[in-house]
Amino acid sequence: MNIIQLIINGISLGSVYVLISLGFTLIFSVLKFSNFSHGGVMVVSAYFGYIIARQFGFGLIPTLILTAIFGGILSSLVEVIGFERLRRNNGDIMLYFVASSTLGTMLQNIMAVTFSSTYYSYPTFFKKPYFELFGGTFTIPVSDTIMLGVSTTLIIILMYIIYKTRLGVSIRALSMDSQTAKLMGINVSVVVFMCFFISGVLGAISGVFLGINYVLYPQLGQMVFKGFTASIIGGLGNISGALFGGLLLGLSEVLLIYFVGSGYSTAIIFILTIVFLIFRPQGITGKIVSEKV
Amino acid sequence: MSFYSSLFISICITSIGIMSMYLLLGLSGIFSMGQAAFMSIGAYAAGLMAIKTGLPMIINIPIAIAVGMLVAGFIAIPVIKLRRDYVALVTVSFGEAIVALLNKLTNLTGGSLGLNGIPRSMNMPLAIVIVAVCLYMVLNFKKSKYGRQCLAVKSDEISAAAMGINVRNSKMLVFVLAGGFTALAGAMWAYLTTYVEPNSFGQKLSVEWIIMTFIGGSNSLSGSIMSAVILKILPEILRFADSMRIIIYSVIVLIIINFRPQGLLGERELSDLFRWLKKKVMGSHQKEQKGGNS
Amino acid sequence: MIKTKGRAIIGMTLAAVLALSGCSGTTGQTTGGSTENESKTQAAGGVDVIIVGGINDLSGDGSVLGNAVSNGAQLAVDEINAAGGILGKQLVYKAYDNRNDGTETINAYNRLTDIDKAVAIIGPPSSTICMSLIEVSSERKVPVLCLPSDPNVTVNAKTGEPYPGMFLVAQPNAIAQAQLMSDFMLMNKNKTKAAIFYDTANSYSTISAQAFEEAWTQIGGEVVSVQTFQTNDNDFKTQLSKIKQSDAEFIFLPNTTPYCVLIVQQAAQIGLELPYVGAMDMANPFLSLLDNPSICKEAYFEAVAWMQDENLDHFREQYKAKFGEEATVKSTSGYEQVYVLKAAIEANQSAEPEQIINALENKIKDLDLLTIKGYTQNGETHAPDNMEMVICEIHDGVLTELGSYKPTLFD
Repeated sequence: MNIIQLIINGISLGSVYVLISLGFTLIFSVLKFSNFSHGGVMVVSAYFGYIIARQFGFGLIPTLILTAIFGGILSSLVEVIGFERLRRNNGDIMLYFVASSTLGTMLQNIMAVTFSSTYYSYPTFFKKPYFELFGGTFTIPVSDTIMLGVSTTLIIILMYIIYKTRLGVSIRALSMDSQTAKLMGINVSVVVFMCFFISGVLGAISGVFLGINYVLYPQLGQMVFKGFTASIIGGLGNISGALFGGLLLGLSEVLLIYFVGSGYSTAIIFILTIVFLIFRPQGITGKIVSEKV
Repeated sequence: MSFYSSLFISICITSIGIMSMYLLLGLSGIFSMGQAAFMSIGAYAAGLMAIKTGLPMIINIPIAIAVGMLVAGFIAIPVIKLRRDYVALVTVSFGEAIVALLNKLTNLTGGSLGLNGIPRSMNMPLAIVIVAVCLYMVLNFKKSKYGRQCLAVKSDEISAAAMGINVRNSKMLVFVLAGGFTALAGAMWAYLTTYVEPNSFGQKLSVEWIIMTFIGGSNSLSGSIMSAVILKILPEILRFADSMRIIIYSVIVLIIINFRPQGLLGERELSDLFRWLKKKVMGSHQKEQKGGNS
Repeated sequence: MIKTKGRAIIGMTLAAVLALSGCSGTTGQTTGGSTENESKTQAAGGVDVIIVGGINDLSGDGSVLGNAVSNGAQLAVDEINAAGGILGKQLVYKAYDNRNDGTETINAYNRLTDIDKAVAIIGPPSSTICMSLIEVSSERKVPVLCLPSDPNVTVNAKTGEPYPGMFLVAQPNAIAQAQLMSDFMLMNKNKTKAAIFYDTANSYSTISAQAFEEAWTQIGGEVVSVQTFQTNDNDFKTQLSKIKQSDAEFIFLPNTTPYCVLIVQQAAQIGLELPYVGAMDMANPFLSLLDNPSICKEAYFEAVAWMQDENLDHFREQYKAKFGEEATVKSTSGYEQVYVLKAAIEANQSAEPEQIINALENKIKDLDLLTIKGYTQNGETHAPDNMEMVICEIHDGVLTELGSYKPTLFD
């Protein structure tokens, strides 16, 4: 087995994780908690994308744009239902966990109840599913390449927003100290709302790509944990960390499956995650995000 | 075994599982999202012992508990050092890893085909006794100094450490205990249903337990158990809405989180209820006595 | 202020919960049990009815198959009722959802037999779930007509005795299926080298893979590559690349439909073009799920029924009219199971569960059903005897049948 093809496969797989981890990392950097409902948003958007692609026959780009808007709205709704009150009342962090995982489960189950009676798959957007290099020695799937391209573009756009726009300044201020930010006249609710919207857009795009790559089923939401792992490896609190974390995770999974087989690879990744967390909790690129005294 | 006794025993089993969630979530603030994996461990340990060695249940269940506590001890080592978000991730990965291993190690565990033929030795009196003992242990733990240490750690780790509490030991103790309780629940389950397979105790179950604990109030043992009981009986009543069950629960949790985040019962326990009743009864007595003076 | 507000919230939540529970009656009554599929021709709690229970996954991971079996059974029940019922009584089909969970399955069984007084259960199509019913069905002696591929579900491996309550009805077990496909590939297609790619976390997949390996090597074939994955894995290119490197002549894929779809799609992505051999799950909707059906150039699989057969036209029409979806092979299985049950009840002229067991063991011989002719239930294995299956072929994305096939190399 060509090691290069393996690496290509790993990067392809990783590009999925990068997308998922982006949406996750954003919320974590700003609001300092892990948004487990991201998976639910992803899955619902994936089904939404499926419906509009099948019903109206849209191509890839319109589907992505419409689903992205849908995902953003859904995610903001999730924020309002689940987290807004908690934030206002300075709730205990445990409640954020419970709220986010409950919302995630609820969204997934709504999909399961509505759609589980049969399998669905996205219509084909590409004529030929893969590129061939060097006369067929290496093959690169088209959808994964697009995903990687989209993720990189999104990261660049996101970094632009965060570092060069007013909204970005508000977001960074909020992530440092939400109380002071409020005192400075920043409308915290609106900024949080926007963050969730952006995160939802990212989640929706990942959902659509997941739907394209795989058969559509409600448990796709579980992929959010892969995104979480990728964020941690890459560095929670740093957007570009999502890129490294996702790719690294994809690579490790592919290599492990190749050398060790599928069952043990899950266990080994678990051990690796723990080791990583103990010895380098800030991830590859991150800064230490310590708790306040 | 009739439908009702089977239901009753599974309520007991869930209560023991919820007790471990109470220890983790309510007392110590450890957000374990993979607790159901310990139930697998307990069930498989008890099941394997029963099938391969034929030892009686009275020996196998303690062995299952011991195995659960041992594994919990290993997992606790990273858990106690990490902050809360990471604990969630680690426990989820742990849950997945256990399921993957159980499926892979076919020679030991029967793989995805599961273990069949465990004797059906669990019955109602035994279940009641076990639950009562566990309840007693947990209540005493809560009142003891260890319980108070956990509460201190939950509120503010740094202050607790400043007060001289060994935060890591406290978390380790709780995690191991919780692992033991959940393993016990798993072993009891194995003896009830006579069959275990790797996918019985997945992420879904862990999330359900979290939901049950929070509806009743993570700070209240009676609350958690009460909600476990109610939420176990409801599916039987709500059979027509079976598929919607989790959705309904989630909605209830969200309502509670938004409007009453301390759960239905808050911090109150059943013992408080008794005390309140007693005061009412005594109070009326005292009023009568005093009545003549003023 | 806060106290009253808190109490108000508690009150409202409790009221909501109680209202929901009040909607369906109290525990102990059976009215809240069934889904909207319950037959309308019976009187609730009426006098002369025969209750048939159904335990299937209607909303969980396996719900595509579970719904198909349950709907097929419901269709059969309605047909039988329209024709006058059995022994002059109408049938009532009560379907419970087990959400693919063993505990729920046992609960449902207990409830159906204890409270609803079902005389037989149309059971789950999953071997693992069926396993959880072995003990209770042996105790209660209400027969479970299910579709497990694992022979250990019907027969106790240690003693060789069949479990009293478990019956594999209307489908051959994994061993028979494996023998069929291996015989076909060797004799008909002249292949000798196989690769197997299966799901270690799925009992059906694992058993089929094991059975195939045994059968294939028994008749002289060679297994050159065995690759595995686990349910919820999404990426198979690594394993597929390994298969590509081996000199396998075809790939045996005994996996559930979504994974077959993913595997075939990803194989096309890496340029792997070997014929595929499936167990039963490459039947529709497999082709419709592929993003481009013609990437499946050559595939063979077996089925208990050929859905495009004209005999099944009426069945498919009725099914579509009633449930709004296309009937699949599993729907016919559920349907046939009810008819086998009918034959068993009529054979002993009794709807008592023990009599039904007796009939299922001894009196189902040479029965002619909609999709199966000459169906016989073996009393020692509690499984069908010599049941034929149809081999289907997919060529360049087009599905055709090759007729029924009987293996010749096995005794």
